[in-house]
Amino acid sequence: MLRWIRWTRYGRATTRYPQAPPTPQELGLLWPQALRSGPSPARSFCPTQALQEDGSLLASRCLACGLCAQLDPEGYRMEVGFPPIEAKGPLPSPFRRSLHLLHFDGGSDGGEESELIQLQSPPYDVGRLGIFFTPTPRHADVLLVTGPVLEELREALLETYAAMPAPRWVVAFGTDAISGSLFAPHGVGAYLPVDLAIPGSPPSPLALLKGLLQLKEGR
Amino acid sequence: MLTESLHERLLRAQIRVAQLVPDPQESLYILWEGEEYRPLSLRPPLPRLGALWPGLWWPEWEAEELFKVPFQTPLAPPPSLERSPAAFTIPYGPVRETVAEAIEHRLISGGELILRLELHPFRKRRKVEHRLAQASWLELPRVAERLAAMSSIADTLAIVQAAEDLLGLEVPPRAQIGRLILAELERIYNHLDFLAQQAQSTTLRMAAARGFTLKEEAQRLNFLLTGSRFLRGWLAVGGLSQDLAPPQAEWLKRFETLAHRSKELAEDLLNDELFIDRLEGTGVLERRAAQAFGVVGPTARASGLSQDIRLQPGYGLYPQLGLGVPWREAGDALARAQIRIEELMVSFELVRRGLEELDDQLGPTLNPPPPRPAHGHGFGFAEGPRGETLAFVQAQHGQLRWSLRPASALLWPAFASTLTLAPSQMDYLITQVSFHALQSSWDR
Repeated sequence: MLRWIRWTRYGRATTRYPQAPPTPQELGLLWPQALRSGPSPARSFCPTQALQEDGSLLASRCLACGLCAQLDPEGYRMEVGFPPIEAKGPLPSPFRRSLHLLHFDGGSDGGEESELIQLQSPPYDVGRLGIFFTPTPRHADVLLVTGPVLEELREALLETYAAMPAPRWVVAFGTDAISGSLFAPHGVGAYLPVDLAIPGSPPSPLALLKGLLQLKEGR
Repeated sequence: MLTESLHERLLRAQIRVAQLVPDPQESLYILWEGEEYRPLSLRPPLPRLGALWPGLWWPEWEAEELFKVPFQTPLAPPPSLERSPAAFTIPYGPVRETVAEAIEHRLISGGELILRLELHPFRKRRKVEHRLAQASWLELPRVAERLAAMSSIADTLAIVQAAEDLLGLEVPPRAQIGRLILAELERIYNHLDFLAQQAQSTTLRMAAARGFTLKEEAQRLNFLLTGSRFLRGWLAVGGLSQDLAPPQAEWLKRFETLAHRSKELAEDLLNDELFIDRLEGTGVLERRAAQAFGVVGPTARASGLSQDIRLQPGYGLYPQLGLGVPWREAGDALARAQIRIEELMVSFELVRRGLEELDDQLGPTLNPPPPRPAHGHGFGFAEGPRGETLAFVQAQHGQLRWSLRPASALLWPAFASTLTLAPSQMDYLITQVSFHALQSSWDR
């Protein structure tokens, strides 16, 4: 037993976010920023058609793969930060202190799952903010969807959602879940109303944390 | 018996069918003959090899059910054990009780005993190979990286190498060193993830917390070096997309600390009686079964097969580095954990060596790829954290056809076989973690 306690000599591993601003390594994500407006030569190379004709970026389709910044360095730059999060909210007051999440994989590449597991580990420890993962839809307030929800998983999604008590919310975690991006024509929005959309492939763990705080408090 | 002797003959001759590329008009078998891969095309209806070669059972199922390839004989169902009235089925997935991929299994059990495990794959079939065929050379690695996040580098490396083989393109030495570093960084965070998950499956919560903290540190170092926690965006057809700059002194210091603490965690786990007790003799994959399923990577090396594709001549820089291949004979979960721990330590050393080489070897990192040829084929293979990913590309009239065989496609069926008549239901979780396979790369 003693050998496991020895680990505590390495000090605190948990981030100070949201009490303090996050460090770049905690943010853990590069997101493209448009440096000028107007058409870009990189547009036809974008794997998911996220680049618009006026040079702006459609966050719901962007994988942050960095191809635009590589092909058109004057037009785009990869910067450390949160991805552009879209949240409805605030939630009714009983849900502002604690949320229970149920994860649903609709055909992701496994990266989102890896980040969700990290979110429960000491470096992020979402439990301290009243956010918990639950094994059953009966206890869940939020359905956390990763992946584009392929046809083979549609029924499972709808059954899981139906088993959740109202009020309930849906989070699209990752670009795949929002728009389907590379492999599917649509995301989870085709089947369920999405309350929180966090783009990224995969988004960083802190991005989900920020998104959930936004959803809870409506800012 | 005829089937037995054919099986024996195929094993003795060192020929194995590495992959079946399904096509209703003309299917391809990819054979591994001694030292190299060779394609063999066959017009359907195809012979049913899966009955004598368990590794081909699922590829044939996939060809028949998903690609509608005709076969000479009907599909033989796996032997059924649940005749006893006491047997009952426990369904797992596709919605799991923890954060996990949409893995669907059915556990046929009789009391505490597991009779067998049924796999229900291809829920997550995104048709990655189809999408790869439409991608330009520039786009190709970006699509390949989305096959499975945890093996981004291994899968993409195989795919990019297949494209280079098709084009006859050389990779500059500096890019080869960069690829080595990326591949080993991927192995480090994957093996740390394995240690954490295995500790969690044996209910060692403190060890799991340490493991996940170390994995986080490894991914943060990935991010600081490459700008991606999953090392994405670096591989390109013909080399690397950017020049890999040597890291800062601060990064190196943290890397050494990570190496030291990983070693400490591994030693603590291997000295823990609880951990050893649960892993020893759990999920045993015998050498014969390992060969029959054609498993690769740490799993194969834990079952007494001393193979590492990194040591093949022509595979990047590894053959020059004098890499030892650790192997064990027990074939149980403990042996797989020991192999991964040894590999982890080797990976730290290889990254150090790679970074030293990076300082000496200056030059370009990319040979731009020519346009795709009208005809030809190419192979690519890469040793990832789970074993060898094989990629095959064929050009016909300027159109490309891709076929992938990720390591996980071989590991899942082998995993299910070890749970036939397993003594305890706890074995299910522990064994699943000890194979550490990814569903997204099998389903593709």
